[in-house]
Amino acid sequence: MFFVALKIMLYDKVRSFITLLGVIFAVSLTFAQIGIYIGLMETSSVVIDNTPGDIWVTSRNCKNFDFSQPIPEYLYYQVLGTKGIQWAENVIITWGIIKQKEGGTEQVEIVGYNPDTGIGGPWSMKAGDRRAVKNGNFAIVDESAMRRLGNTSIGDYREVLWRRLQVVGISRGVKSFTTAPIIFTSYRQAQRLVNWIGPDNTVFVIGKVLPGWSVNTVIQSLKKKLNGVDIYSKKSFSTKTRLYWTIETGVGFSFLLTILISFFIGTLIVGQTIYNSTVEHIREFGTLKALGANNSDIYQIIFTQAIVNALIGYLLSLGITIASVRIYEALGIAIVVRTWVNVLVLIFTFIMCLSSAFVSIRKIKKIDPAILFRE
Amino acid sequence: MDNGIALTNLTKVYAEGRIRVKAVSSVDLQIEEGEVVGLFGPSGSGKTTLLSVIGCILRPTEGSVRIYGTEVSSLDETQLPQIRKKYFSFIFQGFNLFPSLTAYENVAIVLKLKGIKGAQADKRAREMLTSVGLSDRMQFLPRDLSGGQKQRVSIARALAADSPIILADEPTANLDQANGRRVMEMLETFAVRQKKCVVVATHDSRLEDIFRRILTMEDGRIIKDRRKSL
Repeated sequence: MFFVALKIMLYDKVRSFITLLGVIFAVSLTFAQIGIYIGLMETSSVVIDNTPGDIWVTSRNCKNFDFSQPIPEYLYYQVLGTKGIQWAENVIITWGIIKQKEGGTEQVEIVGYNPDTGIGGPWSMKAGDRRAVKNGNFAIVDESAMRRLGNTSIGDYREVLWRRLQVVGISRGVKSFTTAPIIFTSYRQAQRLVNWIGPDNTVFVIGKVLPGWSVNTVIQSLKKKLNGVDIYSKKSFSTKTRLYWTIETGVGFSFLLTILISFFIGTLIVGQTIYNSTVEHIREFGTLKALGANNSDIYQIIFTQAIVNALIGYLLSLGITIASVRIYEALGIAIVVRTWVNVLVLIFTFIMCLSSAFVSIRKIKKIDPAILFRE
Repeated sequence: MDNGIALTNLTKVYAEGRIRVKAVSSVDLQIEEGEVVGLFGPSGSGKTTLLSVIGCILRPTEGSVRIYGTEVSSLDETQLPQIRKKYFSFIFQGFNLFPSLTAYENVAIVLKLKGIKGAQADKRAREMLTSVGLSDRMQFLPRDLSGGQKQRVSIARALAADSPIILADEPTANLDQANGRRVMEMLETFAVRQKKCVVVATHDSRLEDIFRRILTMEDGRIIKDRRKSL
């Protein structure tokens, strides 16, 4: 019956093409939505995910990575002195203003880190050395920031919060969910730049747990010791940041809605065309029943059509998605294509196409071979 | 009777709401293996209904239907496909060929349903199509065949399945007179040669001379049952 299904599809070329287009539309859109969503989420927590360490100490009720408040710097020593902690480091994340070359200003996210250890700083450099921000008015600009800040090279001067900083490096792979450009400078420089943080405060304290120690156990110890702060494992802080953007901004709902609409449209198109094909071939299916075919023999034909549409539509959509990654990147949109996403979308495609076949299955069940005797 | 069709007091009533139509009324009939029977009568006389009941497509309202000794009228709906697969082939007025399958494939699919596969199915399909004069049309789609050729594919399909009973409902209605006659003569020759039990419902009285036994229906009853002397 697989053969019959294929022949029907090849015979009804226009209908098959339309069905395939429907699947490609739905699946490509789903790939794009999931890929962009994951890209956005990875972007939102990229600094957390790429910063060594196991524990993040933040201000109380900190919403996410981008919107934390200053906490006293002495907390760093308290964390460092806790059993199970191998090392600790201060990191400042705050907001500032940069003067544009052509006039006007742009909001930037400033990351202040320890240039000796690099903790909290850029993990991949396109040019320059991440230690170069030490002892001076220096900054590292991420290459993704060039879109908003204009082309910037090592040696250029940029005015951040009314202070001239010399660019000593170009980093790679650092972005903010907020799309604001990210600038790295030394921890002390960040304290000097931002008045309301000042010399006695930090924004995050990052801790590394000793080998063999349980992260949760150390977190519990810290919670007993430290007041007025929240303490997270790296993974949970990363998740919290992602969830914030997903839920609080409605981004998650929007993407989910689009995926559901794609599913609905895809099911509708596939279901409609397979149903039309079934109705058109109802007498032939009735003939098969009259000749002794079971309903299951005919279901095979219907489901084969659905599966073939699903497979071909999926593969073409995957190809389109992979080919379009460069286009998305050129537009500054991070889109992620991962194996587990591919598998998930494949399952989604099969569910969509197979469920759309059920309308036809109901029709088949009701076929009365007696219709063959009526003209 | 264990070799053929036996109907006893067969009645079929169509009921829709308060309206009841007795399409077949108290029919007693026996058709033996090797008999080629023409079932004649005007439109609405009950020919198609009788054929449908014999072919286990419709259930009788009253009476009994025995097919090669098996009482089928009391079987469960789910058992009827097996009965049809084992005993029946059909030829329809509208041919009912798959438009996307070639003549060969339309015959082969029936063989597959009967459990005949591979080289055996291939040989049988080719033999049948050759025997109905379509050896050079095997790879043609139905849209590229004439009405007579399509009906011959239908006959090849019915014969290839090697079912003991062939039921044909108005097989010549969509054919011109010459083609219709040719197709009926072909069916009759094969049926007799292969000892099939064949019942052909038709209202075309010009074909009467082809059949060895003629049943005439009127208002759901068989009013005449003539056998031609050989």
